[in-house]
Amino acid sequence: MFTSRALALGALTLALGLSPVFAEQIDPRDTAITARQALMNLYSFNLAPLVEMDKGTIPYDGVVATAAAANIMALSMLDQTSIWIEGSDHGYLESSNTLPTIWAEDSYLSGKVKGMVNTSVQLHDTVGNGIDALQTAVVKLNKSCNACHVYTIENTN
Amino acid sequence: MQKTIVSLAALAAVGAAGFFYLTRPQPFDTDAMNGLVGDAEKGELVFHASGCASCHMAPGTEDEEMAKILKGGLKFASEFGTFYAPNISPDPEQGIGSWSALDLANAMLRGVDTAGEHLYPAFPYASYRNTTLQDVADLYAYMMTLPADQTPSVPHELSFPFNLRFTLGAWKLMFVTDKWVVDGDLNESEQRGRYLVEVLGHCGECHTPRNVLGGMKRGDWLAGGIDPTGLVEFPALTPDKFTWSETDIAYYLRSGFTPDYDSVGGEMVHVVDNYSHLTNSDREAVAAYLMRVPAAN
Repeated sequence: MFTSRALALGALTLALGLSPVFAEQIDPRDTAITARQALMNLYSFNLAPLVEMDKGTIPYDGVVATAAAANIMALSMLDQTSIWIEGSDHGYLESSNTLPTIWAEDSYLSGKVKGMVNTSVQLHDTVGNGIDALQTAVVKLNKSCNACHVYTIENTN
Repeated sequence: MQKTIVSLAALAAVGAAGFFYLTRPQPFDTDAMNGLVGDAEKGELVFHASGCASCHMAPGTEDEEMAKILKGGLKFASEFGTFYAPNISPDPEQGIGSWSALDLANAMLRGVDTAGEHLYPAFPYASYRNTTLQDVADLYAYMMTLPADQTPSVPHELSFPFNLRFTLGAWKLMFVTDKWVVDGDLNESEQRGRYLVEVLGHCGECHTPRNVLGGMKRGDWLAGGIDPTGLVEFPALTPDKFTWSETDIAYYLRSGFTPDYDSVGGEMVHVVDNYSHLTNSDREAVAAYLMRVPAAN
């Protein structure tokens, strides 16, 4: 499990860092989408224990929850400047769920990324304090996710 | 010859009179809500279940308190023209502050405005049709506690013949009905879920495909729809295509997280915002109902 996570993180880091290097060979929108999807997969991977504890399908474990939240906090702090390239949307590549409206002037994308950092820090600081704290923090985290996800395609499949 | 022309003219006049009679706006009797007392606390739940703020808050609103300012302005492009959500704040001039609870019932259930004209079905009265009058009374009581706003409503931009409101009576005759889509032997929770999904939540408005006249294809109930822009598909919610468990559905409506730990997206962000205010039993009722929806044709 650790290996796959390390590999995914490595791939994400490469995609984040190297996209300008390959700009001539590969459309930067492709690498941006790949990097975003890798980032979202890592969020999902780390959300899993928190969501299952919240749902009640696994018992609450403050240590596991705090470790997962630490990873989410670290992910939220990655510099995302190069992965939100305007035009790297669903209209360009069907596998991208991002809608072009995310780049509209009133969407304030950068502010939302900062909001995610703040919420992730709160998540990390509180999920170890019991199941009630975890449940509150998970819902708050989702609202931060939604600040951007409102500009994506509904995903229920 | 003259006799034939007169006969044809008379026939046409009778036909036109019949058409206008059958398709006339049909508001409630003036005493329909007599004796009903609204409860604003219960009305807040009706407000969230009905998704009023999702369409009537200002475009781009994210703050929960700001979402209570129902000044309208959200744009809905369609093949018939562009609709703009009106101001429904309690402002007496620009909003609905001068309306009675009965006026609200006429709009929501009968698609008739205070001038006695048909409303466009961009306002989902085809779904709200079976709202209980007590729920309308409660909703009205709650809405009148919200902040008033003096922003004028933006007129719709519709081309001929869709700008002729009297034609909407024929649309109502064809596509608005009191009948439930999912009928039969439903338990109490499934019935509550049906009320939330088919009526207040107006889920079918997005998740059911539409015909060329914009009516919901009730035979393909919740089989998936397409946004009028053609860019966004609304997924099917029929059990053959939508395979989440009841627990997963209820959890999604509370937390916004999918069974594969993705976050809710698109318009469903607003729906989850709304349904997170309801009770667990209501969210479970929605899930129970969705299990009873027949597979798409």
